[in-house]
Amino acid sequence: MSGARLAAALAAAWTAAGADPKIASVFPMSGRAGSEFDVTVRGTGLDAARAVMFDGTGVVGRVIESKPEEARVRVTVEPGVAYDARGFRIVTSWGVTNRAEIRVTDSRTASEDEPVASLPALINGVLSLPGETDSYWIGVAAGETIGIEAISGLASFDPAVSVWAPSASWFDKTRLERIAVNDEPLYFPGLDTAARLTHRFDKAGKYCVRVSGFQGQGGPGYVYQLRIARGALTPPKLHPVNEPEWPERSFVRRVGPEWMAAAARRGLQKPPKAVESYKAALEGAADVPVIDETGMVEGRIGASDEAHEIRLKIAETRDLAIEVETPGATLPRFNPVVRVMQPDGHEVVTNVYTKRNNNGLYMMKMIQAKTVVTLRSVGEYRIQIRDITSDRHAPDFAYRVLIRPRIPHIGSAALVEDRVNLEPGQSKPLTVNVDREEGFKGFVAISVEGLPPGITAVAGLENPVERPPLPNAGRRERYYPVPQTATVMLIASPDAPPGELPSRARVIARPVVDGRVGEAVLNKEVPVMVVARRPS
Amino acid sequence: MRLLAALAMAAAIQAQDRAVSMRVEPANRVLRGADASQRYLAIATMASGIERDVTADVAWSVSGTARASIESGNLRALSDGGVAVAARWRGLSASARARVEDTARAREFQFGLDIGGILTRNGCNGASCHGGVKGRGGLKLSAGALHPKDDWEWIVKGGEYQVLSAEPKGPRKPRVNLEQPEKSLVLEKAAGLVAHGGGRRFAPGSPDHTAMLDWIRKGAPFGPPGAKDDQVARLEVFPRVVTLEAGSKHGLLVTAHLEGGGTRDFTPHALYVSSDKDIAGVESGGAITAGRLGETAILIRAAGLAASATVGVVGPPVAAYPNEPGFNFIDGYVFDKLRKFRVPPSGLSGDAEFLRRACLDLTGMLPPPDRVREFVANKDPDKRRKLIDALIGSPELVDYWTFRFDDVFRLSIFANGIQPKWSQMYGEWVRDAIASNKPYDRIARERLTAQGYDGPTRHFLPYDVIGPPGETMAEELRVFFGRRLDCAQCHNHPYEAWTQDQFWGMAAFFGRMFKMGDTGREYVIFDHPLNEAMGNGDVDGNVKMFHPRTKAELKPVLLDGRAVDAGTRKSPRHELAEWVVKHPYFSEAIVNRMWAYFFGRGLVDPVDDFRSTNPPTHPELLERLAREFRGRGHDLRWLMRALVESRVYQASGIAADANRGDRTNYSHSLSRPLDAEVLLDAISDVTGVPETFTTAVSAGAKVNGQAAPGVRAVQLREPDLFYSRFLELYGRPNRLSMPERSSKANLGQALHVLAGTVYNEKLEAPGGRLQRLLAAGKTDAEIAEEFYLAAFARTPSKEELSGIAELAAARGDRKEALKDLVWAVLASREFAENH
Repeated sequence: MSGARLAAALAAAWTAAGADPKIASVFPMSGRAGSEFDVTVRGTGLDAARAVMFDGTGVVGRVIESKPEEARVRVTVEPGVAYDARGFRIVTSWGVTNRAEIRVTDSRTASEDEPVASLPALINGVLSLPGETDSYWIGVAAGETIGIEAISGLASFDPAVSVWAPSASWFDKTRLERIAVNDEPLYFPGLDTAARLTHRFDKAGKYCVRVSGFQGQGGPGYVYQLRIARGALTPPKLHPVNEPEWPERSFVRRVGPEWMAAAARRGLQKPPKAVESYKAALEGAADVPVIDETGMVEGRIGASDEAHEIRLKIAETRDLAIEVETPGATLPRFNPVVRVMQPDGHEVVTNVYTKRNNNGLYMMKMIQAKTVVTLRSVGEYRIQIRDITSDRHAPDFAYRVLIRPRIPHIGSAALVEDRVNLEPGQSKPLTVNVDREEGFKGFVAISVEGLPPGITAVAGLENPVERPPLPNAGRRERYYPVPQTATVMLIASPDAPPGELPSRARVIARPVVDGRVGEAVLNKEVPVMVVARRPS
Repeated sequence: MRLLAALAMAAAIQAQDRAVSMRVEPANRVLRGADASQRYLAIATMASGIERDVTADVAWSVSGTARASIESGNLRALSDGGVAVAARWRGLSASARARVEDTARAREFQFGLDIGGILTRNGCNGASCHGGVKGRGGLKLSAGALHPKDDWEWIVKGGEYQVLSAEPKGPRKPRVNLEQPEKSLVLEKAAGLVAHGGGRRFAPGSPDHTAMLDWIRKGAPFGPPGAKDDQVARLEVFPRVVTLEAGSKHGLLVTAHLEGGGTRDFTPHALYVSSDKDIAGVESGGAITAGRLGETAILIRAAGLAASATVGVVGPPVAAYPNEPGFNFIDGYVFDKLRKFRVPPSGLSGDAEFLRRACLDLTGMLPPPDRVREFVANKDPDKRRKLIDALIGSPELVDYWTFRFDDVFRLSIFANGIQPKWSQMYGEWVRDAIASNKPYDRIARERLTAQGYDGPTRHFLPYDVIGPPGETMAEELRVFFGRRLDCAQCHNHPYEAWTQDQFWGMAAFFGRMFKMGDTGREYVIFDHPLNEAMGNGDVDGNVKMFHPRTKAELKPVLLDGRAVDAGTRKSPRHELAEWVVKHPYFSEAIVNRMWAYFFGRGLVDPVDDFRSTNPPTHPELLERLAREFRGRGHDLRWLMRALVESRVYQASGIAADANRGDRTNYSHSLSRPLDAEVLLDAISDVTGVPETFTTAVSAGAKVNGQAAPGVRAVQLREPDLFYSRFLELYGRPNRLSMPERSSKANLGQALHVLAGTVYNEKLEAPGGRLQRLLAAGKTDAEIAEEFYLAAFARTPSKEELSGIAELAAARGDRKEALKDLVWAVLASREFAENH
């Protein structure tokens, strides 16, 4: 089958499936403020693309050419536009695409075919075949430090950068020798896989910077933006990227008075009293501070096998939440364990969720950022804080442990859908997931505003998923919220008029407690569009 | 007739070989206790350099007859004081000193020594009999009487042994009869008076039978618990290497070194077994008799321990034995043994031969033709050392030794958590260690103690779980000690002194290892604290290990019996690592492994099977290499250089008649097949057509990933990522267990040579070496020379050139004839081996 026939067949299959148009990659990934440039957008269902919708102002685009798997877009960036990633969607006859980004930069971007004339250099490249490696030569002075960063423009593409020097190979004088490499600073769930490398060159000379794909990935959509600049890159904090707006149960949210006040607002609760700050003593110290009911403990693990200890005094049975924040290093480098013990050392609760796996053989343990517990016995408890390993420590192994009364509230609230394209007479759901935290018992009110003509929103019920209770699940309620899903059905009437552009609908969720309505815990824009019925 | 003539000639030569000196062994000894005795050997050094045991022929005397008596070299203590033992033979005399002490103190009966000794030297507690895993016929004895208390209980109290329980099976029925001692089952079986699978071990009335009967008559006591000072710490054998001429005999002396520093003659108490009875037989009491020419080991067991002596049965003296100068300390050890065994070393390798060998061994690459021409033409007398410098400093060395240690350290996706990113993290740790020439003890420490999320921690996650502690420990000891303890997991090791308790004591160092995380993508490795649940309180979160047989909670105990208490939270693996890297086994294991890479076999072979029953061919060399390696900061590159700079390494691969049969003493360089990856790279280099490695496992499958163009097979990291039919056929291990490369040829390889893609498609590929040479207008001879240099690092001989010309003429089609030539080069053994 020829390539053109194959593409046509694929496009037909896509149309028959009724899938939404989708952007996979954009090349080049960036453009300079005050310039006009063309980008190639790759994806599916891009035929009949007719408009480009950018977030905000100052950047506009128009479709020059479109094919099922590719569209060319001319982008105009006004001078003075902020240097940042700017989101956009393409509108086609089959609906609106997902959101993609173009980066607005302050410097000229080069193509991969151009030699690197000077630094800093910003290069847009593509590894168009499996196994392809792009090479860029740079000149450096002795003792100079260079920062290199490669950002992927395709979700499934994981770039790596490496630095190569002329070698002393006896076999081949032209052979290059790898002297530095980075696939990503740290591979861990939640962290991005952009490659970032800072290297100090002992000797002056010409060096080769190479960009490759993990495991030799490559293909037309494997685009990247490479930045090479003098000086060290800002060390990444190795904190999770794309943190949600409300980062409940994240180790890197800032816990403290504001956090407690915000949680109280999300549950229509009275703001709790301010908590005092404490510094824990080294384990075994004679003088260990005492927390009176609630408080914030701050410290850092600065030595191997170091553990900190503090006492907690309660005068009556208390429902508490213990939250752990790692403002510096976080998982998996720093893995803080918090143990609450009776004075004799008997463990009462920890922030380590323990269960057995489903065949009951292996015990699984997970460190948690929040633990909810009821301390029934009045008196004193010992609290121990340390890293889970016995030998890891660093100046940035800092922690904050907040011990506070429970605040029933709505935690995470998220809209699942990124866009909704509806044919006349068709119906699709808008799904809202909310977490009930710390015993929140109120209602959640959900509204959808700004729908296009001919579309109505009604409450829906999903078919319940029957899940057997987890065996050996441990005291899950201490470590996890109660999740809930709400569905709003969007129904397009049979005579709903197809739109030229999508409407920017808005989904809003609010807590309702004792008849009072709280402020929005979710306020999210989603493009909704009535599209022409596709030919069968 | 020929044999008779040869024997007669040998006898004649021996007869002419006159003795030039004589000595008595042991030279100095203390005999302690009323019944102490010591066996002596009289050793004559002949003019040919060989040593002969003349103990049976000499006239023995002792200076103080009131203090000791001597008969046939056997000294018996009578009263305290110093004595001189003298031997006279054929005008030669020699003496030794002995001191007799504590003769007023009669040695107390000890079951382990007295009855255990009888059981050992009669083979009752051997691995194939009652000393086996489950014992035999219901009776279990510890191998070599290693655990005398257990043996005493099984014999005196009776009962059947169970592997998975410390309790006996069924009711206990004593095997001794205190009422009628001579009717004791243990005696009747051993004397063959009742049916016994092991047959008669000693005759009624024999000394051993009498001793056992006396013991039973006295109530079958165990005896007082022996003082620790009297425990046997190790066995020493003299001589460690015995050289025997055809038809001759030699005695052994076995000395038990006691924990308290004393010694005891165990020669009459030990069990002697020859590894090859055709080469050397051995009688009870340690007398060795020469058989056919060759080398074998005599294994000696006593007091639960084992030792060995190497026996070489040598031919007649070599006329004009070459006096080869050594290049470094290695050569002395090898040449001394060769001289002793009357095996002459081959001459120095030619420059081209050395060049190809060194390039392949140090970098896994063939030298390019221009480099061959340049090296051979170079007249610099120091050119070999300079070449070694260049190769050791080359980036190819980093690639190659990273590949080597990827093998040893088992870099693969499945072995490292089933996460390609994790195997990559682990792989970068290995590569960094090689590239920076990280001291090997540091590499071991980092690997053994790894916690957290760093590269070396990932090797603790085979198949995404923390490996069983026993398996993890056994692998680490196999890697870093070259020893296999696996057998002791279920029972005491049947052939070695490793006990099940030792196994689990060592396994306990890894018993608290845990992975924090749930999804399979974020595991952090740590040692779970002791007696801390660290959980929710609803399930027992403690992590404990129990002995599979005794069910006792396990604590970390080193092989030397030292218990390690790391405290509640600290990882016991830190103390383990410190102990491992300081132990002599550690350095011995790595120098032996490296030796094997350069010489085709280890001084102990297989390299990870050190045991008393598999002794090193050159024990002193092994010790010296290990000592030097330690002294130089565990520097792997120093070790590589020392090996390659030796005259032994640089020996020619051409064997002489007198050393052709030698496969273990390095008289000449042995050919060894190229490893799969090296062979594939070599084919790519010779043809000038790089291999393409993709993630697709079959023709036409979707290629998700592909190694960058020009990536060599040795640079591929995980074997489970880039599939290669060629590499699988030629023995690339998948590293899912400790890799053992098979170098044996197989039918699949033969078919691949004939019809496989690697051997055939590269001949056709445009841009290859053949096409380039043809395009450049080279003649057949020039093309042949280029391929010979690229593949063999030599030019073709006249005969070969004329054969090539004939081939071209017969084929008609020049290009096809040259393709045939290249195919023949690639299919040849000369190409596929390093020699």
